[in-house]
Amino acid sequence: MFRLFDPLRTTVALALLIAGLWWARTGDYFGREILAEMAVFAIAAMSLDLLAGFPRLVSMGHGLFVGIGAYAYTVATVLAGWPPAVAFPLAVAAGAGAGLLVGLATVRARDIFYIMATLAFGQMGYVWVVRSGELGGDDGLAGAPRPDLSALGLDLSDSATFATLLVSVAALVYLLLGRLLASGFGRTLLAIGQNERRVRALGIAPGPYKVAATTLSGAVAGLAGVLAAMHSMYVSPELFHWTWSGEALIMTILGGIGSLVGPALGAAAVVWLKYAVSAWTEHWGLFLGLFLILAVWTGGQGLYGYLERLRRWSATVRDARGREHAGGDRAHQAVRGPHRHRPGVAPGDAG
Amino acid sequence: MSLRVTRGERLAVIGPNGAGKTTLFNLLCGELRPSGGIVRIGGEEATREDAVARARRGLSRSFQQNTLFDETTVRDNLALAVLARLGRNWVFWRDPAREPRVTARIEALARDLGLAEVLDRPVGALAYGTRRQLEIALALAREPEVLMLDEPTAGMSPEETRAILELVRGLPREMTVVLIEHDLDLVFEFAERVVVLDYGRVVFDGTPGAARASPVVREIYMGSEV
Repeated sequence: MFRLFDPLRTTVALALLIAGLWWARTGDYFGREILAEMAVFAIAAMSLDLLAGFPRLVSMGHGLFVGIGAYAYTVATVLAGWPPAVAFPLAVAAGAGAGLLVGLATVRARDIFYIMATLAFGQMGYVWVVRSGELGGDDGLAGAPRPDLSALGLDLSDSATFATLLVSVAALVYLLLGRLLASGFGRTLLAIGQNERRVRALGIAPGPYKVAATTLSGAVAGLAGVLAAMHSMYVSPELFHWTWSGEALIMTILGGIGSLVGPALGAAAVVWLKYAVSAWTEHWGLFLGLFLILAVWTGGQGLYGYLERLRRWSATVRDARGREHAGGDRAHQAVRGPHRHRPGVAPGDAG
Repeated sequence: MSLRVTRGERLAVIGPNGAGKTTLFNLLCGELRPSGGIVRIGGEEATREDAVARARRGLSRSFQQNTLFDETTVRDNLALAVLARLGRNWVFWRDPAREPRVTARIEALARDLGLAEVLDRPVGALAYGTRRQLEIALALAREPEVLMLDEPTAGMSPEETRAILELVRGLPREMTVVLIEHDLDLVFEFAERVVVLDYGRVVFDGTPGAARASPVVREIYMGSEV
């Protein structure tokens, strides 16, 4: 069972939020641009985690939803001339619609077949956009506006305000997805990921849950796309490309798949790594690869998984010390063997 | 083969390894589609229905090999089954497993199955026998009309086996129970009717007493000791 207000999860989420808000206030222009990119990737990675981390639908075409959100917003505002207030919900709905279609098309696909099917959908989107003259082909489309929030006293052309808004939206997405995952629906998604056969035997048809999850994930990824378009005021077919989807998946895995906050942490870490390492070598991808290999070698639970291990280890030590005080020679009984479980699903989580 | 089970019956299906007992369960529960023949539930044809539809009709099963949600707690496992029974899985904004009627049902099941002590422990960390008990609890949580147990006591201690026998005996009379079991003492204590399978055929169908005396059963399954 996913617990949104698990102490460790909440600590990490709050630390990320506070660091983000602080950085938005105190960082320089370049730093704030990086922060905005982190927030966009964090939203995209969290939406991917809703699929990959719970019902274990490892999507390699998540860029499709992000790209559709970004292009829908840009086309509606730049080409059709609609106001951002209309284009924004429309673009999120386009992401959801794409999610619904992909969900329906892949409802029977599992494991490697699911990965290949989503990869194919993403690449179809990529090729379609690259070949399309109206959408700017390879060159993409420029000019996506940031909405005018001056009525609220916000000037989004200011990089600090924009970065603060994006960090706040990421925090809101975290809370909404967390609430969703802690619901009856979230319980069912988690169960489908763990044992679909048993889910069926209990009289639950997994298909509609998978489709619903893909639709919601598509909507949130579409939102990430809209924010990406607003951020760079430019959209390119690269958003659709499988390498973009792969990067989002790497962030999710590196941060801690199935923990919701982990992918946000992974997004921040990878974007930071990209800029920090590329300052002195262009081969930053090599370092990312090494980190990913390390993450997989050490149990595949990512950064959040390390933190959880640390928490369990310290709890075990505390427990053992407590017993030492209480019962002397029975202290060793408190030291339990390591038990592997997924990050995000803490043992002892009560329903 | 032809097999008719009446409501409220306590039936044991026995037979040597490879006789087709679990395959029979998979056919009845909709996990396998038969290449021929008809499956009827309550007189209605259900041959083309999948496992989900048949579970909703009131067929519930336990698996020979534990089929649990290993990465969550016993409580979470039971919660999902209880929510499935109540049709409360499509709740997006709240956790229906915290509702009093759901927690009461979870705790009652845990009490009946001897799981109360481990309710908040992760399933993956439990002893094998305890996991078997949870396997049965999940099948029971749907409050089925037909309960199908596939070797429920395999790997259990004699005390645990005894506890399961008592539990199954205490189930409501209107619940049909079909049991696959290798422990013949348990079969003879539990069953009102015994069906013996061999190579996918029914080679014996009768009372436990008659099964004990049957030369066919002795020869193919029990050896000469019985």
